[in-house]
Amino acid sequence: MIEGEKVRLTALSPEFLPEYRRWINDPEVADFLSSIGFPLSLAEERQWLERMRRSGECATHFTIVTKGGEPIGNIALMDINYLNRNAQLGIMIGERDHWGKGYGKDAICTLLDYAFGTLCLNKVDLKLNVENKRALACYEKCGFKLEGKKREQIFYRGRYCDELIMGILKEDWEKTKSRRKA
Amino acid sequence: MLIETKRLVMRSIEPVDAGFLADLFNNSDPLDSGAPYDLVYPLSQEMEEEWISGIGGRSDEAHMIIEMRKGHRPIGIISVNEIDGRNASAALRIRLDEDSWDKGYGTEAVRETARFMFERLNLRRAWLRVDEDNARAIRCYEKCGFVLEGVLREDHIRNGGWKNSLVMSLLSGDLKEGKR
Repeated sequence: MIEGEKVRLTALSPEFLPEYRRWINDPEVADFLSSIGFPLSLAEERQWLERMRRSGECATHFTIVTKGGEPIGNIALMDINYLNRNAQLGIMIGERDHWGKGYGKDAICTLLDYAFGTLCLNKVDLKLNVENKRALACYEKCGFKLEGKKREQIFYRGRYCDELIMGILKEDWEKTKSRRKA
Repeated sequence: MLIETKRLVMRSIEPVDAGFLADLFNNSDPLDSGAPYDLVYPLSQEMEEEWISGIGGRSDEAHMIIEMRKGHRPIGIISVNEIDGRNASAALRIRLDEDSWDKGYGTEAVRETARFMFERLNLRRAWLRVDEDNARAIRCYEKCGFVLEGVLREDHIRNGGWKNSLVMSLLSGDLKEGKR
């Protein structure tokens, strides 16, 4: 378990399967998720968790839990590359009443601490739909910098949208942290 | 994600739905456009459970329960079959509980599922097969913008007679919008 200020990051758990399923099936939550599709059943969600477990990916996938113990979303470091010491971040806040309150930001900062501090990565990057203004603002607040734009990379709501690539270096992160402490 | 309309929600099929589905297929008129022509009657709850346990995780088809948004009562099933990514085409099938006919639910479900196929899955053609005597279903499809594409002559038996099926299709630009 990794402690943040507002949340803690815990292991993925079968006990949260009904929540995982509800989040991913919520049209508003899933709006910007790239693996969008038909409604998922509990059995399909269980198979997903099994796959994560077998592949070992679950080691860097976490459920975001409030200090009050309520699961509100998932966050992950994916495609960890220990040669180049980088990884890709993905996050979903599934409980919509927790949107816009800093939970996502705290979860990301907590995970970045883990990525740079514990795993000694040099860089974390991520991709997002250019229309996803809420995510963009949050990533900027966490210290991610815009690195590029893939033109018309994503089919979203009937049209092609650009995809942004953002990244944060260990160096950026340490500066952000020292500024926050000062 | 769930597909939602003003009155309905389309969700995944779960093991608890086996009884509802067995009743749906055993009790309603086989003229219903959703009747698979190779279906064996009557269906037991166990047969449905077995079917449900096998439908997950496929990229070429998806099946959903249509339920009321208020109260979550299931009223039917809608399926997208033969999803062909390269050609951006897929087949639609729907079957509603007889108590839920003539209320516009079918049109609502077909319209929103077609919209989902076009706007979210980047498909551009939805097509279906319907018994030529099923005026209610044909009317529903026409309201959504489906047009007649052809006739499959005497392609199935109903009540001891050889019947034609109609093939209808809807292209993404021709979806007739209703209230969401």
